Amino acid sequence: MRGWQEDMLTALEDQFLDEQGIFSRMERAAVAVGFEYCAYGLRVPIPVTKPQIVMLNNYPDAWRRRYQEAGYVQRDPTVLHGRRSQAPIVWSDELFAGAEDLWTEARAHGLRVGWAQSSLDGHGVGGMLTLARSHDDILPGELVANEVKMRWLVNMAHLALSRRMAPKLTGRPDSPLTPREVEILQWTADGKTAGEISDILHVSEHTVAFHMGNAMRKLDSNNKTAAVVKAAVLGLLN
Amino acid sequence: MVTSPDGFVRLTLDDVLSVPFKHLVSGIDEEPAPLPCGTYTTISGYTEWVSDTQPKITVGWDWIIAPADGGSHWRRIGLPRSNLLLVDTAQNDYAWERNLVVLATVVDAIPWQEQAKTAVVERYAA
Amino acid sequence: MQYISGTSTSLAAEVLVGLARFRHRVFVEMLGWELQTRDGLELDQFDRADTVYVAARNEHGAVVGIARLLPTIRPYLLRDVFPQLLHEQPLPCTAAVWELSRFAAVDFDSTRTTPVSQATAQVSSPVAVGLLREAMRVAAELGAQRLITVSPLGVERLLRKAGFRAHRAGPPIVVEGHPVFACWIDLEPQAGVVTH
Repeated sequence: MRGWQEDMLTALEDQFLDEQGIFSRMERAAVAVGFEYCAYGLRVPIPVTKPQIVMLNNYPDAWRRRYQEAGYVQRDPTVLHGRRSQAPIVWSDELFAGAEDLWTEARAHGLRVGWAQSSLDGHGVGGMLTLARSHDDILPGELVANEVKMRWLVNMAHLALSRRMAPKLTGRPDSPLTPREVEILQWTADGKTAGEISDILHVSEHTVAFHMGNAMRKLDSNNKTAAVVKAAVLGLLN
Repeated sequence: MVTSPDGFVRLTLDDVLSVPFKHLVSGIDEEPAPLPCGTYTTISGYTEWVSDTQPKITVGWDWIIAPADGGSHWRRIGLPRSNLLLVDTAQNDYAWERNLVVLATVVDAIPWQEQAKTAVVERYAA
Repeated sequence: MQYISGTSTSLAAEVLVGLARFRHRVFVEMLGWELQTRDGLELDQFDRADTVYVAARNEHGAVVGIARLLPTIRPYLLRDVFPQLLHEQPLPCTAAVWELSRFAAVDFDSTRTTPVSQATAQVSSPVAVGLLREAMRVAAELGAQRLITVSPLGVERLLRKAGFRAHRAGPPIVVEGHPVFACWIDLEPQAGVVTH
């Protein structure tokens, strides 16, 4: 019988496995490290005005509905922590101060003990894994024994799910930007006009416009600003 | 846990993820040659970690300090170097390249940056 | 590039002198190692009748690379001088393992004056890679299945970069701030050279 780690590795390599398939392997992994519940949130920074968040979890249905209708994702301290830091965090009264209603309701639904860690990749895609259970506080000894495995699961989950879901959500260009296109986007991001860029790169303004047009098309953007921001946010200008 | 005649310590991924690694030494690479004008200079180095087990498992990798989000971020660069060879649950050896790629995922799950940073600062502070 | 190999009994006297002189230029003069020398020649207690040398010569016949092979069934550097590099592991003592030492590839005829670090002098050039492959071939003919070598971190890195299946035998010993390893090199299968 293959171990859960092997399953996560093959989840990365299997192009026919969809997000549900990946998530079931994460559920088994969660159980293996001692947690009943597993939740993953993937955040894609596009559109800038309304970043997309996809949530996969095996929480009780009632809690899932409640979390959704109360809009808790906007106020969840674990999510807010994960936006600021990639350090793992353990659920506690201190953490949920300011969101006592969320904390009380979570515990009422059997979610009393939890650990979460976020991840961020070079494409601006963020993720957060939460491992939770109904009882048995997390003691330091458990983290000493298991935290590397839990962190490993966070990374594998991010790789597998972002690879599967992010291209669709971000509308990542099918054909990659050429070095010239990247260069022109970078100078535009720094506030240079087409005229200034043509001087810097020793090409005609027509050429600058040509490359910018191609970049806009590949990035599915209606104007230069949108193209530049999208490229920057997706890490394409690094 | 034993060292095989070929010099490898064979463990499953589950075992490796359970081994507590300790920082041994970290250092900065001396610049080998002058860089062409205008090239962005990055600081790079190495870090070595070892287990308390018998036999000792050694894992080392190179790092680079890359700018990120207004600060700087210590990142692994390249595949790790180790005396570990992963085996699957059926005790079959991983292929050479896959072994290193998967060991890299283990390295990325260890919170090594703080200790490497501290070690380097202590070592090179005048 | 021409390769020659043999022992001190099979190689001509002037060849052996040339190798010892090359070693002096590289290890004593260029790298500053503290080694026993005499009359501009570098030789130590591991240069015996059964020691095998592999050398590379350029188109002018000048030595541009050297490698020394010792069977682990008789005294060798790692066993006699650096056994601590294997920590608690048993030291190899088998015809299947040979030790590689005094490995360097430097063309003193070359007019390029790029600054050269210790590790670079030894392993990074195409000459070095070719010489190492030749040394591996010679060792394999002598019955070796793997080589062991004392190497600093830089050498382990370069071996891997060049595509050899090299891996450390254990944790490093830190010598003057630099990690030094006992390093295995698999002879089979021979990895292809990575070009970059």
